[in-house]
Amino acid sequence: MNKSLQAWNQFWFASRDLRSLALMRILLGGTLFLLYLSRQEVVMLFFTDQGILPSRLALEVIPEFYRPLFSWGFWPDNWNPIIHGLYLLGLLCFTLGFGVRMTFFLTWVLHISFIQRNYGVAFGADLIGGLFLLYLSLTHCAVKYSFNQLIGLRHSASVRDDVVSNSFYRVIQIQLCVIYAYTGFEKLKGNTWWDGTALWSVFANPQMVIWDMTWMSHFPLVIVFITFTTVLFEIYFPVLIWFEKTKRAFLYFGMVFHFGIGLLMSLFSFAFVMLAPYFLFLNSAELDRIESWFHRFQRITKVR
Amino acid sequence: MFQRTSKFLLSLFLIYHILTMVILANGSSYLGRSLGPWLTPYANSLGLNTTWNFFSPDPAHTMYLRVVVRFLDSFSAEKKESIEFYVPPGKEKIALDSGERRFLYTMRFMLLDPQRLETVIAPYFCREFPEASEVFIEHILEKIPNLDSAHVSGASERDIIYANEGPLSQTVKCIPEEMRNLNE
Repeated sequence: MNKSLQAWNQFWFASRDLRSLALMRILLGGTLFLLYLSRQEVVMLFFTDQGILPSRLALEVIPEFYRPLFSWGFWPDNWNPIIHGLYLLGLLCFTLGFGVRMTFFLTWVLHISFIQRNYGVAFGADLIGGLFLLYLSLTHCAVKYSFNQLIGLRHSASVRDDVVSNSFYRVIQIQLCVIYAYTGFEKLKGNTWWDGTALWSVFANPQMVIWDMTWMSHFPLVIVFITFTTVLFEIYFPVLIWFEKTKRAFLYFGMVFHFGIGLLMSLFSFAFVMLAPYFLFLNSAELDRIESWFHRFQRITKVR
Repeated sequence: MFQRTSKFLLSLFLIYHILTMVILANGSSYLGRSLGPWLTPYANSLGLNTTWNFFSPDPAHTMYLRVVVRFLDSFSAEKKESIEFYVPPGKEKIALDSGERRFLYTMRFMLLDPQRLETVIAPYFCREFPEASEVFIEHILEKIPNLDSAHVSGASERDIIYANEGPLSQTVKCIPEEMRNLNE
């Protein structure tokens, strides 16, 4: 019993390397900032009464099973263009690591309120990015590599031992595993995933890919290989990512996988949102290596 | 003592949160149905209640809408020539612009439910063309040939399915906003 409690304690509450949270913050925040910067010009169309969806129907169009009890957007609908601007400012501060947990949480409130205002317009990156933003706002993600650090904002020595921050580090990891697992399981329901031809429907669909990929029909075995590899990766990631021996292979494969989707389907925001939590699977030695690459790059650019 | 209590309470919360995350991702299951009332209010407020079905069960076929805005008088005679356009404008071509892509997403979402088509999409097009009397929305699906036939005969042959009979394609009368509010 004592041993199980110790293991539980160790898993959820042990202190973490705050650099990984900081790297995730920068990648996630930067991606969401750029994604929503491009959305600013269509705020009127998607999020006001002059656009597609009147505010009185905003919650009504959400299927009942997913419908929230209340809307986080407590301001009048015609304020949305300004609120969206404030949201962008919040995201910029979050990316730069300027602020405290409460300000980051408020940024998430703005994020979820825009999702609720027009649920139909939300991409996968919006939904997943929102969850990661919420979890990160509860951690000490702005201690390292941040504007807070630059201006010498002091944190108490116990910041590494903060139980809430440490436990949400785990929640992010588990959330990523759950997303991968279910994405893989859901694919097993589909005939084309079972027979190995699903990715042909993606390659041959001009609404999904940016280049004409129909020449792939001459290489059916390659399509079958990529299709099965995708399913296997998504199903086994949640298990094998926790073992030191297999972790690195899955992280590298995940990077290739998401960059591939980003490049082929012009879905870079989705790719970066999914890759951001990968930093939380790196140990201190691996983070040291990233830091030394960064210093080397800085030195090179200074010399030039 | 304080730290122990806070860890205990936090642990209870974490168990609840992880259970919600895992169970609601498969919300139509027995567990989802029976525990749903305790989990969904919390999950729906956070945006946690989502099914993670990217490209599944099977990747979607090419789909777009043909919209015809008609201008008829009270005797159903044409007052003005109808306007016809597609959403997205490039039909089967990929929408690279993020705004255009979101527009297609929202149209697709609204179209999945005939009621949303009637209460959201059609009134939107009616508002865009204030003189319009009715809007016809046609759902067009271009079915991608399967790999076996594409391997033999090429990929250009497509079966186009026009869903012009059924709930996904509808003609909706334009009712002025004030009248609509009165009716509701």
